[in-house]
Amino acid sequence: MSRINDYLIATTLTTVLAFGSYLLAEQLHVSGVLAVVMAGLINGNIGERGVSDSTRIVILNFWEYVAFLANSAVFLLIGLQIDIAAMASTWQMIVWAIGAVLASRAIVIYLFSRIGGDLPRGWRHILFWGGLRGAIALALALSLPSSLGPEREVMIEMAFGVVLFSLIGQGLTIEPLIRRLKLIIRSEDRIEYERRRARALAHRAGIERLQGMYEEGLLSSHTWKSISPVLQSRLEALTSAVRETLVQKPELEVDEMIAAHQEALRTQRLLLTDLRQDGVITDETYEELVTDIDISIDSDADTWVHNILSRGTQRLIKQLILAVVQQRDLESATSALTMRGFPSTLIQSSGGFLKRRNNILLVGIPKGRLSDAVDGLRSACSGRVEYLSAPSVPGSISIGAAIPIEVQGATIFIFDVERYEELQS
Amino acid sequence: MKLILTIIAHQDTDAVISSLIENKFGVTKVASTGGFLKKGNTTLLIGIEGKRVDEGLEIIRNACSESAEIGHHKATVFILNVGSFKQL
Repeated sequence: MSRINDYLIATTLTTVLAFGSYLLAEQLHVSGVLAVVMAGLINGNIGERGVSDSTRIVILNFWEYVAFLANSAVFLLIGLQIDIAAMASTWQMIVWAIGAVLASRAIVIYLFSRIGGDLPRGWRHILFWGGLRGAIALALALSLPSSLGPEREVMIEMAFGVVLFSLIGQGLTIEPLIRRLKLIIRSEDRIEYERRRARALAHRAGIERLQGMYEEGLLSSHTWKSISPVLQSRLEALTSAVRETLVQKPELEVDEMIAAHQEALRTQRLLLTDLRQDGVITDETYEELVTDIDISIDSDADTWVHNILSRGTQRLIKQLILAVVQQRDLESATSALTMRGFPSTLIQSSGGFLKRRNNILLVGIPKGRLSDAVDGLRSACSGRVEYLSAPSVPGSISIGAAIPIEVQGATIFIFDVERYEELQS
Repeated sequence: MKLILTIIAHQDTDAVISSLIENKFGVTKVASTGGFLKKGNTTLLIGIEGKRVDEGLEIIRNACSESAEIGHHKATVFILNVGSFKQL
C-alpha cells in the first residue's frame, strides 16, 4: 500500500481485501469471518506503513461509515426477521441463553482474571456487568446456514433476546452500578475548582472575542474602551479565585500535575507508534522506548510529582548506585532512570585502559527500589564486541588489522547509605 | 570515618568549599551534571570522622545561597560509611 498512496485506490484495495479474503476463505471451507479479521489486522499493522496521513484519514472515515451502515443494517434485519409472538413462546430458551452468557462471563472475569494480576474488586463487577452484546452476536446468528432448519430461528431469537437484555437491562443499569460501587469519587473541592476555572476560561474567551471584534472594527472604540476595564478586572477576580483554590488545596494541583504528566506520556507513546508506522524508527527502537514510557505510566506518579515539587516528606534513600556507563549508552541510561522516577547526577570520566570516555552516574535509591533501577540500567546498557585498530608495529606488514575487545555494558557499584539529607532553605 | 557525598548548585560551589576549608574539612570537587535537565552542578567528596558529620552538614547548609529556585532543595547529601581510610 505504501507504493500507491492514492486515497481512491487505497480505499478500493481495502474493500477488495475485506470481501476477497472472506470469499477465498469460504471457498477453502475455513471461517470467512476470521479470515477478514486477520486480513484487517495485517493491513492495519503492516499495510499502512508509509501511507500518507490524508489517505489514512480517508480510509478510516470510509470504514467508519461502512461500520455504521452495517450496524444499522443488522439491527434493521433483525427487526424484520423477528416474530414477537414466536419470541414470547421461546422465552424459556432466551432466559437460558442470557443465563449462559452471564455465567460464562462471570467465569472469565472472576476466575481467569486472577491469572493476569490483581484487579480491584469493584472493577471486576463492572467488567462482568459491562459485557454488552450487539451487532456481532446478531451477525453471527444471522450467518448460520439455513440448512439448520427451525433451530436456526431459535438461535436467532436467543441472540436477539440476549442483545435486547444487554441493551436494556445491562446498558441502563451500568451507570447506577458504577455510582453504587463508588468507583468515581468526585470531591467537593474538585467540583468547586472546576467551576471556578471554567468561569475564568469562559470569561476570558468572551473578552478575546470582543477584542477581536474591536480590532476588526466591528465594535466601536468608545464601547470597547468603556467596557474593557470592567471585564479585565472581573477576569482578574476570577483568576485569583482559581489560584485561591489551588493554594488552599495543594492536592488538586498535584492531581492536575499527575494528569498532565500522564497525558504527555500518552502523547509520546502515540507519536512513537506513528514514527514506527511511517518507517522513521525500527521496531526494536520502538519497543525499547515504549517499554520505558509504559514503565513510567505505570510507576507511582507521586514520585515524579515529588521530583518536580520537592514538597512534603523527604525521600527515604537507602542505597547509592555508582554506575560506570559507556558514552553511547548515556542517553538511554539517564532516560531509563528518569522514566522510573530516579533522579541522577553524572560525572564525566574515562576508562583506565583504553582511555575511552565514559560517565559515572550517581543514583540515590529509595528503600526496596534497587532492582527497578538496576533493571533500567541493564535494559539501557548493552555489552558488545567492538574492534580496535591495532597499532602498527614497525617492520610488520599487517595494516589496519582489528582487534576484537569486549566492552562491558555498565559496571555498577552499590553502597549502603548511612544517612540521606536534602538540605532545605 | 564517613564519606559525605553532596551535590550542590554551581553558584554555591565557591562559598561551600571555602567555608569547608576554613573549618578544616578536606574536600574534593568534581564537576557534574544533572541527569534530567543536563544542567551543570557540583559534586563534593568530603572525608570526615563520624562525629563531625553534623557540623559538616551545617556548614554546607549555611553556605548555600538562599536564591535557590523555589521548590528545589539546596543540596542533596549522601553519607556513606568508609571501610578503611588511609592518607598517604
